[in-house]
Amino acid sequence: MMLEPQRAGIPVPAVTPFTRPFWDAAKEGRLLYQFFPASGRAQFNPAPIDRVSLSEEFEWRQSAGRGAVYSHSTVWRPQTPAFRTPYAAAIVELEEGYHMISNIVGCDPGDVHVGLRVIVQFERIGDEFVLPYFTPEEDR
Amino acid sequence: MYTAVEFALIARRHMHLYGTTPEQLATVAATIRNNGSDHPGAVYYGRGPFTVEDILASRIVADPFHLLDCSTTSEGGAAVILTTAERAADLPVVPVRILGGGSDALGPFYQHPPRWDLTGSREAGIPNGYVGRRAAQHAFRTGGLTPADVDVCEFYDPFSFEIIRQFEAFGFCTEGEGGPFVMDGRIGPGGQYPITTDGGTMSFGHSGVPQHLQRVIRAVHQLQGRCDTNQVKDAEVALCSNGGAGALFTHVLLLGKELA
Repeated sequence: MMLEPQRAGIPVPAVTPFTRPFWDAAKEGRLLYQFFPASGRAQFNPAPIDRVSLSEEFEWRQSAGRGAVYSHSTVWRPQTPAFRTPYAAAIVELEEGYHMISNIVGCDPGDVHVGLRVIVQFERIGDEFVLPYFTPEEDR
Repeated sequence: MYTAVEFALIARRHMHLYGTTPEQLATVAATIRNNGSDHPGAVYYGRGPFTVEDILASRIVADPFHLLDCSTTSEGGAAVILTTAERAADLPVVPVRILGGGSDALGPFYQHPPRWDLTGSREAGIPNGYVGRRAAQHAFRTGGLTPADVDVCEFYDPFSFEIIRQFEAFGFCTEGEGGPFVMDGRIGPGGQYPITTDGGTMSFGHSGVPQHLQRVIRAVHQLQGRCDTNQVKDAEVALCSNGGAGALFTHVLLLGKELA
């Protein structure tokens, strides 16, 4: 069984002024994160301040999109029928030092494990959104 | 993402770090569901008994959680009356004292992924996975007691793994030992640390906010010796808990018949 991206019709993200640059870049196939020089921290999700130093000074940086699965759960009973199952929810630890929630696609659910090396794969969902998924790096 | 997945991401990380097994999770679920199966007030009264194999045979919701690893939903209400020790002395019930308590939280709920190892900027260095430890330590310190003094564990049971996590977080066992700790009858009726003796959210009912108080109500009844089912003999001290968001916040309340 191959894990696949969702299709149009799923609930879509609520874009805010702080997340718009992220979503706009995703449409161009670029994965962005916030970097705060005051603390040297990479931060995700985007927020108006650094959660550690409280600094408001940040720059958007582009991630290489490579990381490893930190934790995961394959879902067979979704919260709403809009989602196709199974899907593999995962926390991905990016090489730049931050975590993000995404889904793993392009492999069997049984192949998803903690430590699996993954790379970002952008998938268009309807007209408005391109979502960053992750897929095993060895398949690329 | 939704609640089951949030808690699953915490459970999966623990399984990876410590080798915790689906059978250990299922032992928790079977124990609590059977407590409710016996309880005439439980929504799932008469459903069961369940074996570990029954839990593992139920369909997967969000792995590692099977359907029977998850709480149910229901309606319901709950209330607790607080008064002074002086007033309570005249009442026709056995008074139960609040010996200690605490609340512990880490990060915005249902916004950030629950990460077992995350410590953020906390000075205490206690990771996300052990949220509630500071609350429990505060409660035990206030009450002059330790986990070994607890006779009844009325713990929040939204998903089976949460019980294993709380035994470790509250100091009943060492880190990583929670899986083996719940085996061999320790958490069942007559065991060293009977858990969630009315069936909890898995069987008694999950009425949203009122179920927070249901843990306190059941603990009070245990200490008063009023439980018709699963009464823990000579119970003197009970620890209640609640929380949520895949272990991003946990509250505890330590109750007893006497001040330590």
